[in-house]
Amino acid sequence: MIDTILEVRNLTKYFKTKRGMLHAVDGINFTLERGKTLGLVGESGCGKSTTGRVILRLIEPTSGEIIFEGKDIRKMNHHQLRLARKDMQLIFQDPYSSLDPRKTVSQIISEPIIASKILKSRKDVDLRVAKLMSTVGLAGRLFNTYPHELDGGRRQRIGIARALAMEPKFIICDEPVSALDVSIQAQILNLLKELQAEFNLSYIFITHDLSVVNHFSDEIAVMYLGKIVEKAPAEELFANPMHPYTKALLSAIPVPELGAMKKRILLKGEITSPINPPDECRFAKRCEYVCDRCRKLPELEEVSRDHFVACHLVNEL
Amino acid sequence: MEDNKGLILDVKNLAVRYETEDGIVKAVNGLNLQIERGKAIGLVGETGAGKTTTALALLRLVPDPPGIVECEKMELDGRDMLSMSVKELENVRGKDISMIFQDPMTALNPVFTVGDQIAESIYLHEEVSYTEAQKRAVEMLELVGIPGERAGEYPHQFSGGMKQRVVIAIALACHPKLLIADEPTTALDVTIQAQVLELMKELREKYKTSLIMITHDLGIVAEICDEVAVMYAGNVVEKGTLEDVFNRTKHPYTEGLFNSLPNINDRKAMLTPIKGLMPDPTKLPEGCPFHPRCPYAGEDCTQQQFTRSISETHYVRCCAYERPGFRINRKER
Repeated sequence: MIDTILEVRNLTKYFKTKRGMLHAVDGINFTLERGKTLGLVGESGCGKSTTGRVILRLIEPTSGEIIFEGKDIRKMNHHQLRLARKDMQLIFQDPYSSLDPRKTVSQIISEPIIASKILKSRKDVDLRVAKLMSTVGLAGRLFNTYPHELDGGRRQRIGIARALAMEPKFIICDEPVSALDVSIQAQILNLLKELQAEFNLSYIFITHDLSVVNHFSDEIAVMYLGKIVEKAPAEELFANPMHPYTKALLSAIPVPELGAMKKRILLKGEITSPINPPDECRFAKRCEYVCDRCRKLPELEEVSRDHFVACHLVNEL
Repeated sequence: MEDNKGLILDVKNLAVRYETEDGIVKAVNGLNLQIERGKAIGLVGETGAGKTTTALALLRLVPDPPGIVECEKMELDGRDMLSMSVKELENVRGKDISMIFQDPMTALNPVFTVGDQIAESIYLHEEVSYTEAQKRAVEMLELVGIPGERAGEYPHQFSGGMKQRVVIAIALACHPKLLIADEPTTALDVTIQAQVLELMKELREKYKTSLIMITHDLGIVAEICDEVAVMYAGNVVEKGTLEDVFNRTKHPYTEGLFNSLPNINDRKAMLTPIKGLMPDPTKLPEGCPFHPRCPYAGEDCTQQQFTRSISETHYVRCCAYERPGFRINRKER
């Protein structure tokens, strides 16, 4: 029996702009198993961050269902949502702008604890903060320092401690290591993995870095202009990519190894505008295999076990 | 090394420090760098390693105050850069040596058309009329894969990848002898990055330009460079050919960098990060700046370090090699 923590059905988010409807997220479906990680990959503007925010209802979705532990988040009222959000947290991309510069480390981490009134006494709160700080590997002496005194890696640890403060079941990590140097990136990725094992956390890991997502995720969904174009277990996706976009994306990763030069698929053309996109395959303009059938929008279909692809030509390539 | 004819750039003992109210930031500390004509060298390191400051110092663009540059020797194609007047420098910059900046969004002037911006450097450096310069600007634009009729458009009408192509077109407009690219693809998506790298490779072959590629991505280095110099706290800690540095890694910091990268072929492997943090550049540790983070650190590491030569092409700044039985521990990839 699969223990599903989150199920997203037909989720859409359109933004109204002067030039028309911007299709940021356009009917996506996925499920997340408890204790697992779903990687959401794609290039800038593909809607991956919007997806993260819409799931938490930080942005109201246009339509669709978000079922978290059996309850539809979209049907909750303000009070219910507040309670539900205890279990759902977000780690932001930029550890420089996501922390209040006028608050100390301990104030930042204790804010959700105080706001939700879990712990009342000052002493209990401080003890909890100290414990969280040691969990994420922040030295106790940093208790009263301000974010500007710390480097990116430590700031990201504060962001993680703040997310853990509510003892969540599910965390959306929105590019948590993109702003960090490689040696620090590895420290944070290892920390997130350890925390997952310790607290049985489920993650949605949003990133544009394919080698990181491969290392980190159990399942990967590749997004392109608001659509999921391919979804498969991580190993399967990397061993056997099927969608032309996924293939190009994988071939574009520079590998830090000599003689690893592989045939690179260079995409031509520019990206289709997400504003009022035509009702055809979103990748058609850049795809080398484009044909008449691509004028129709392809559905995400199961090609082999757990491997979903949205391409008309998948069996022919 | 005696025959300096083959060197496009020869820098000895470059030091840059910023004297600020909070203390003296030692950004570059006694760096030596030699680049052979037509070669591409990758300058790799993390934030604060001094990569960008080195590039600015090479263009004599370090802001003063607070920056103070000291250098024993800086020769570009046999000409002494240190004794040049402002006027002479203006002639060299953009003509003999040019730079591609990291962020294409801010590197272009929003109120001039891209055609004018490319034509500007041609008009300034070559004796041509403005109409001729504009004609050549259109050719440059086509060379980097943008239709010539878009020369009359403004930067905001271009996507990020196209803006970076425009920046490349400006940098290459006068066929410089040395091109410094400061993280040219960091702000771009991977598929666009692949296009831009491919373009840079082509143009470099076409014009035989020497290249300094500043990056933190070892994958990019493996792809387009001939040599690598790994920087840490303002100095080159290891330098060699790609083979030397990638397959016969010698410096513990380089080892740490490689071992921190997720391996795309083995997703189960745990990452081995370098412990600790970059040192504060106002308070660099005595001796080897890496020793507080180094797993092999010994007592001799607090002494002044000097560069050792492993082979004719391979240099390392680490004293652990004097110890018997010392070897680097690179994970199998």
